[in-house]
Amino acid sequence: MGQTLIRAAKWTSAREGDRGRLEFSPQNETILNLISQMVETFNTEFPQESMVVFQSPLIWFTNLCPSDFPDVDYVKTETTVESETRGRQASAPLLQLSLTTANKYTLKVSSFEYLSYVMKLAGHNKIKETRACLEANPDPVAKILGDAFATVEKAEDKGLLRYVDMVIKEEADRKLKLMETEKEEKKSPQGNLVSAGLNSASLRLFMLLQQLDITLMKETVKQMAGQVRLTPESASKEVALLQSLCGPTKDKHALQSLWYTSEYTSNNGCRAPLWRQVHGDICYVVVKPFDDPPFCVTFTTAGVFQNKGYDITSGSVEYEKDGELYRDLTTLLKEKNLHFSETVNKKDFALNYQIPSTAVVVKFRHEESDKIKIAEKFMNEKDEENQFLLDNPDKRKKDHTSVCKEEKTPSYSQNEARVKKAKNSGKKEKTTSKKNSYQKLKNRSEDHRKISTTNELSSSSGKKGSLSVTSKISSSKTRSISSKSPFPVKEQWSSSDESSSSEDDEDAAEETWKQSNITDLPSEYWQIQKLVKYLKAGNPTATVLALCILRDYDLTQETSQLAIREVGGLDVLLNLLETNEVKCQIGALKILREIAQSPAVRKSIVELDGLKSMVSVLSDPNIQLRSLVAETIAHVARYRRAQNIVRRRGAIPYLIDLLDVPQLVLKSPESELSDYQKLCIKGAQTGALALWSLSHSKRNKKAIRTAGAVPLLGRLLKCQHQAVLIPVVGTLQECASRASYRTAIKAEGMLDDIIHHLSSENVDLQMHCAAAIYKCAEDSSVRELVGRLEGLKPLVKLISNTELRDKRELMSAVTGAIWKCAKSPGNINELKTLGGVELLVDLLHNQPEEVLIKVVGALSCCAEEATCRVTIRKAGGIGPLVTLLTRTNQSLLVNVTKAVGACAVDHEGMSIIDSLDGVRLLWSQLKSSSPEVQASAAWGLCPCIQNTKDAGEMVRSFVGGLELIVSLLKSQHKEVLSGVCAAISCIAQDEENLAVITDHGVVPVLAQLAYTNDSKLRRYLAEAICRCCAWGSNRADFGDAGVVAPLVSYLKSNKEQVRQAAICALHQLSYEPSNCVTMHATNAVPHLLRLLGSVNEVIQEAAAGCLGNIRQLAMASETS
Amino acid sequence: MATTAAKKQEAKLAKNLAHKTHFTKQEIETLMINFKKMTMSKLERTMFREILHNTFEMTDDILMDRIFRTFDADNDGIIDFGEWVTGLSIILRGTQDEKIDFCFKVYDLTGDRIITREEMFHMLKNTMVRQLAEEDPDEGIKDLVDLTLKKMDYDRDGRLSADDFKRSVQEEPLLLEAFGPCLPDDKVREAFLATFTQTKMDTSDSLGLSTL
Repeated sequence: MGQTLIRAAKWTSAREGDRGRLEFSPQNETILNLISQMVETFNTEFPQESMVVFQSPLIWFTNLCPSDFPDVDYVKTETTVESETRGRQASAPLLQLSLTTANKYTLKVSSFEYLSYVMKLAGHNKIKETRACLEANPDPVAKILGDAFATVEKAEDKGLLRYVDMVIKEEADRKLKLMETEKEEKKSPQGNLVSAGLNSASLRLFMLLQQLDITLMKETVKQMAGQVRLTPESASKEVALLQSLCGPTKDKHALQSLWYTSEYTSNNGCRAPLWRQVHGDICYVVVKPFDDPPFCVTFTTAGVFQNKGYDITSGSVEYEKDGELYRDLTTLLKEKNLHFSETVNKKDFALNYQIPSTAVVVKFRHEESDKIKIAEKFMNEKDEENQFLLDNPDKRKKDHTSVCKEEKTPSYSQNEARVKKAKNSGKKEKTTSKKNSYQKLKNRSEDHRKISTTNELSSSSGKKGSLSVTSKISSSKTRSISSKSPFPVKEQWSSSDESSSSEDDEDAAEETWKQSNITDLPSEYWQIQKLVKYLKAGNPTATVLALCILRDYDLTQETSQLAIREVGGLDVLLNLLETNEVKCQIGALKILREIAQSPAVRKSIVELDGLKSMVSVLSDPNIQLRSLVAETIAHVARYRRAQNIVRRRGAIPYLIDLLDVPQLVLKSPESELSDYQKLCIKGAQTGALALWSLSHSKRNKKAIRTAGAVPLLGRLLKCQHQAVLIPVVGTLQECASRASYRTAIKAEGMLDDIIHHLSSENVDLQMHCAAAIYKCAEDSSVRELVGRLEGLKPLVKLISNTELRDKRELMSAVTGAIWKCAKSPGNINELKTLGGVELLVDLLHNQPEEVLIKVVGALSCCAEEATCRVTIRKAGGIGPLVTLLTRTNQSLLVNVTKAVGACAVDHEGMSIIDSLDGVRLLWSQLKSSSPEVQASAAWGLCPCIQNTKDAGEMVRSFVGGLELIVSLLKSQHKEVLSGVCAAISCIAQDEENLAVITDHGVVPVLAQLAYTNDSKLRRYLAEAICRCCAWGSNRADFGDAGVVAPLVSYLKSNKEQVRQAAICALHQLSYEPSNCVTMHATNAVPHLLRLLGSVNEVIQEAAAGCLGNIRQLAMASETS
Repeated sequence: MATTAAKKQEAKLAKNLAHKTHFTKQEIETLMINFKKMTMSKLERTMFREILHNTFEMTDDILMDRIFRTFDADNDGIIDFGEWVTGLSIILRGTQDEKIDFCFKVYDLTGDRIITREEMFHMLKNTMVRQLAEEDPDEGIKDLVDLTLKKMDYDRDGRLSADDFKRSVQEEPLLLEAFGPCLPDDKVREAFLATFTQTKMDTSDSLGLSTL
């Protein structure tokens, strides 16, 4: 009881004289109740103990008066009552009531027996009596059992134990003595014991009192636990929990949405304005449940209640309470919303629980282009909430910027006078403010990043209509629940916002890996996590130490990277970039540079908006920093989506700036350079690396060029240092796919350097140079330039090197370059003299398709020339070429058919092809689905058919071959049509075949094609018609099909070959009288006359023949 | 007469110093004038610390004290002009080796050419923010000290000798100021240099070198 009275009961303060009273509070009421109950029943429960006389009586002012006491047992007078039983001294009755001052009775009680009588007598007033008694005797135990038993603060009281031991011993002695003297005296031991000061009964009483004490304490604790005291942390935890239960679908989610009314959090974590915090308000939350209209709820330190409402337009809350006070929001919701309580009670609710999806990449297809944007997908939110938030961005931004302002470091003034005035205080202020701002900057959680990402994206996408990007900033802020971290994190991070972010869209493979390796994490994992913790907690000195130590671990391992990411290490590292501490920035970058090589980390960095921090470092004057960050950006930019972001953040001009190194420095060897110059070179290298990564995107290529990178790149090409050259050439060759770059490269005279570098030792460099040439040589002027600059020599040298044959990329690039260059006849000669042709034939074996395409392409160009053909044949090239006809790769087939066709021009070549059944293979390519292949095959067939003995037989032997070729005339592609017409002209030279194709209906089809503007098609079409006239009624049929008129129009063509072909055709057609009539009618005669005077003999002859036939007919009709 | 003699002495001093330090004679003369403006003939501890705080923006008490002791080569409790110039030469224009040596002297709290674990702990004591959940941030500091020692102690004798320190810094230049900032930042350095040097733009001296 004593302990309770001291600790748990609430006392008012003691004023002068007065000892302080027990407050009227529910806690005290409970205590008093319990005490009075116990005392009342004490007599009956513990008769022996209740007999124990107090050492000193309990005295208090009582409400009882003598009339309350019964007559039995008590000696009553008018003003006093005394009990009959007496204590140790006869004069002291165990109970004494006496009148003291005006009408106030004092009661003196010396045993529990009488105390319980008093309780019974008091009846309704027993609480009052108890209260009065306790107020007058605050430490009753001391009075009851003596001062030795006085209540002390400390629970242990060794003195007491010793005292108790003494008492027990004494009693034992007494009993012994008593037993001895019992025979002599027959005194009641009771009397002795009662008169003795203490005995075992009193000890038992003491124990009982202690037990009562414990009971009382328990009761009060229960009471206190029943009281609610909310804190900002518990409030935010609860809100976060409920937010995760929100969603649009009624079946799956308990609530529609839930959000804070204010984004601004003050230092103590409360969101309520300060003037409301005084009232105990913590924050305000708007809840939108299913079935019910939305309402607003206030969190206070005493509990949660609904308030009068939240006004969306003005953003103000009606603070008045509108309903009951609940322990927490969940209880309130359960009471208010039926759907919520039902859903929550459902068993399968757990299965539908979704972690709020964090930053997930969503593809948008816009009307203009296939742009891919990063948007934060919060699928659970409705539009009006977005609208609401969009309406309050100013408010949010304002709050945000004001927070930022607090974090800025104060400017350091060098004013002496100021210093003299405020020496120490100034110092402290600087240290603490510097420290604070550094710490704050470092430990800003990811949500800060998310806010800026979404803000930036929303502003840029404003034109494109509402992306639901700005949705749920508030819910994104409190992403404290992360059930995605299955690993028991060793230390508890204090901030609730440090959950690992955005692992939703990571590979499933990584997920399973995580699950399976949960048990065998290496110790490094935990050490790394510990170091990240020091990163967060330390000041710049400790941070630098931790960063240096971290670098010792193998950061390319997945476990290490996972360790860093699991505890928000990426975030800290990125935040460190934004501090002003150079050493920390450098250390952080060195780590980021290592881990950014992993694809998963790259993605995370982009999603954490790390590029913003990195690009901001690009404008730092320190060149080492810029160089490091450029290298890191180079790694991160391999992630496709990062490329656009980097460009939009304006990084490209800075990167290009890094490339600006004076010529002198570039040309001097490394040993002669100063440290600073070495840094510059490194800067150029990393800048080029970054640009190379970035240049994979089309828009970036354009941006790089417009920002003026090309001249600088050109200058860098003259550099001695290979480390710089490779990314530079890499960038150039990547960008050379665009025509603007090709012209620029030519204009800047870079080809010279590129060709020079072909002879370098470094294979990668050679490869990139060759690739650059390959791309640039699309342009014929470039081809010739390459030839003039003796570019073919190193190229051929490279393919002659047998050691390099395995390197696919190198081979592919070099053969590609050779191919494109070989399109110029001048280069073919060069190639021939260098022995390139044989080498190319050699390469037909054992090379991957990528290389073969280019080799065959080169050979096909070479084979246009007679001597090369011979070389090819002699080198045994035809065989492999024919074999290649069986492949399926379209680009390869195009080249192969062309090559085979080119080789077939030679008779010997043709015979080889024939023996290998090459014509049939070639013919079957006509069935290919690709028009390019079809055209190429058709062209290739022409020389084959022309040069074969028994061509007719051969052609007829192909089953369905002729039908196939005629059917191809229905193709839409001009190139195919021209090729097929050429082939048909060859086929039609054999009479039987001509008959067959006529049967297949070649005449009307050819006639349909006549109305074409394409000169090439016209020519070959006319030739085909010319040949086809040799059979039967074809002439008449052609005429009927109306082919004459268009043919006459061909005569006006400015191409001689077209005219020649047309006139031959007309000549053939004119053997049919009706055609002559048509010709005359279409006014062909003047053209014919004109053409008579042509220099070309064939035309002359044909024109003459044609005219002759017309005249003959005319004469015949005249005579008849 | 006294003044000319004094002037001669000063000139001699300046010449000597120009040999020993990275400053030119003119620079030293300018420094001398500035020095006289600050104080008559010598710098005491409190004044020195003020200068460190205001001009060089250093805030760490322990280290500022150590820097004073290191500047004070003859250990007489005051810094005279020679010591001042020598010290400035190291922290503003020192070679990497000079700086390594300087920093080691600063960190060596007991002056016995060894940095022990306890000394490291003492310097790093206040570098961690106390986490709410933790009772004892000292554990973290001790752990960090252990890890640092493991990294930097090449001869594995459990403490850092001058050689250990030098090697560590040569391997990892960021560790130069491992136990606390005792050299001025680039910007501060430039600003101070500008007060007494010619405005000749020396590109090799520009930003980016001090953190090598």
